Amino acid sequence: MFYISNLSVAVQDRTVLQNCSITFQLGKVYVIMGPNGSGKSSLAATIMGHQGYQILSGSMVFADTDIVAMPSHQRAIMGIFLGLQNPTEIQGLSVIHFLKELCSLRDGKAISVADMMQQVEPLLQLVGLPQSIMQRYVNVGFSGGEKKRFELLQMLLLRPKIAILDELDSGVDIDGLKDLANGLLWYRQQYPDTILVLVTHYRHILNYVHPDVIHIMIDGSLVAVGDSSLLDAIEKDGYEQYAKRS
Amino acid sequence: MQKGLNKQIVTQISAQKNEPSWMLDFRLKSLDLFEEKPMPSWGADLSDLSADDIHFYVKPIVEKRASWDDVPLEIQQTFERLGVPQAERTMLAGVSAQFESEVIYKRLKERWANKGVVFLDTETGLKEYPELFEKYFGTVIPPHDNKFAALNSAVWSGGSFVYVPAGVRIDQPLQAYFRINSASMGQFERTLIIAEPGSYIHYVEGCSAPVYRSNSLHSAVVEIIALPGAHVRYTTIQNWSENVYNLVTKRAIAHEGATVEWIDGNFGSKVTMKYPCIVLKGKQSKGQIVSIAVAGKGQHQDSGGKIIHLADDTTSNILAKSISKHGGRSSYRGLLKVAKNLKGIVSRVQCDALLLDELSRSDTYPTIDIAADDVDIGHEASVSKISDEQIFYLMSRGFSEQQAQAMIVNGFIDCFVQMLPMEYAVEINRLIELEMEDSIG
Repeated sequence: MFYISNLSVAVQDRTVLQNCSITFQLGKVYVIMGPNGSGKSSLAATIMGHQGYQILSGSMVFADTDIVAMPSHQRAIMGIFLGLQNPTEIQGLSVIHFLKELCSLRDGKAISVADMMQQVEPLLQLVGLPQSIMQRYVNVGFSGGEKKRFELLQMLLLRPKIAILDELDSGVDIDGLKDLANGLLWYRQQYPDTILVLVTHYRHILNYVHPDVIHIMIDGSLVAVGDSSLLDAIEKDGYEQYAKRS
Repeated sequence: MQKGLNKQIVTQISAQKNEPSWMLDFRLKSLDLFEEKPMPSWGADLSDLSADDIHFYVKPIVEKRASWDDVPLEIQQTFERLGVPQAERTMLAGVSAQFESEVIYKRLKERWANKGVVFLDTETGLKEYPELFEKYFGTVIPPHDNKFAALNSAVWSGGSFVYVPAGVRIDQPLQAYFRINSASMGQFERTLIIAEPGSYIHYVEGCSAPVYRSNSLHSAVVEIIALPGAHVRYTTIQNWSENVYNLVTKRAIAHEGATVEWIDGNFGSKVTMKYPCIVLKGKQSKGQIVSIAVAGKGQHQDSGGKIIHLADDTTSNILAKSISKHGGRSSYRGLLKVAKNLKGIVSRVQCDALLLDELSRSDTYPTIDIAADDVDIGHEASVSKISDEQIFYLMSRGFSEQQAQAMIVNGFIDCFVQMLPMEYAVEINRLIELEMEDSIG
């Protein structure tokens, strides 16, 4: 399980998360919804340990370890993955080299390009990326959809225990959405204990990946929690009903 | 030990090498020029390099046996980390030792010799091919070119002589370290490469392992003559110890339809001043200079490239990448010159600097002198830093901050590394990783 307790976070002097608490249980699908700027991405970045997010109070405990003081890469090695909303370009770093290093890191020993390709090839097909992507530089000149597919590919290769996907569904067409959803469903089937956290403000992807728990976030606070019936309430009355309450 | 650099020492060097009298004259005239010329004041700071010290540097003609234990610990450790075999370590660290690669070199030399290719140390070249030396030596870089070219001309010792006959193409790179055996790399090397029409040669010198010298001035001269339709690529990877002044003059002449490429990687040293030059003398000749410079603490890499267009339909390309860290300074100093009334000139110059911290510095000093109208010139310069988002991205995938930096820096120089033979490419990537280990506490 993964516990977030009473977490408050600031970016520079601005508080972006206030007193957030969530318990994530193994094998469940969580959705964090809310309007733009409500703090969803801040929560995701904070879980991953982004340096720009300063923790004012609270704790994050995963596998009996408080990860608050842990640098990002150690969190990743523990099994936390964050698929970014806007993955950054890295000029000159070829995808083939990057993925080889990624797999070597996962295995704790160097892996050959041939062995890496053997693992990557079926996954490329699953997430809908052409093999030619291997020759390109990481995220450089990728379309919005390609970036998201590439994030998912990395997740599938790293085999995280907690996968947080920040707006995986934004900037993606309907075919892309289906591919991404299929990738997630395949992964859940392979690793049923995975905690899947979808950060989104659309519900399209939820037609394919059914959530167990939905949290609503407004102005940096978690204001409501429930099952998928919350989706209908939002569909009907928007987020404002929660804003008023908070 | 004799004090000062004087006629007597120069005469002695020449006599020891049994040189023809014209070479002695050349050396003595060069010595006069060296003494006349002031220290260059336009580039890196050379004030700590006093002329009086130079006498020290000209003495080691006779090999002095040193032992591995005399090599500074820091250098020894770097060799360990790079995984360089012991035999190469001793050679590269300047400890005189018989080198196993003599055997390899002999075998390769036989193969090349069958095609008429000559690959010798410069002294032997002068003895065996005096007519080629009289015709070409000192013609691309005359002694009066600059103070250090004059110094090299006066006291040169070692270096390579390469001659490729017309139409002969050698696919395998000629590697200088095969040639260097018991005589370790000199500090005043003099290299002369003559590529006859239609030939191809790729010459590679250096190694990513740090080269330790107890003497602190390295001043080489490299001259290349690419005759019509010839193609010469000259690759240098150098990693000097931190006490070295590396002041090198490199120039090539490209005749009609010839191509010359300088691939130049500069690591280490206290000060490097090096601006490989290509004179595009013949129509439709092409020149390319691709370089990287890495400047660390207390280091100044003042490097770049010069292209001089002297004929119609000539093309040039300069790509210079620099990395500065720990307060290091890298400067790009370039010249692009197009002579009067030329047609069909195309040139691209791009210099990109990467600063790894706030203490480090990068400058660009491009000189563009265009006296013709029909030109297509592009010049781009950029200075960048590693962004927090890039570091976060890689760290979120499990790479440490240090690994993330190394991956980004290796990406930055990828276009350079692509130009290298495979084994060198691997070495350079590893070297960048080592440099990053040092740059994060």
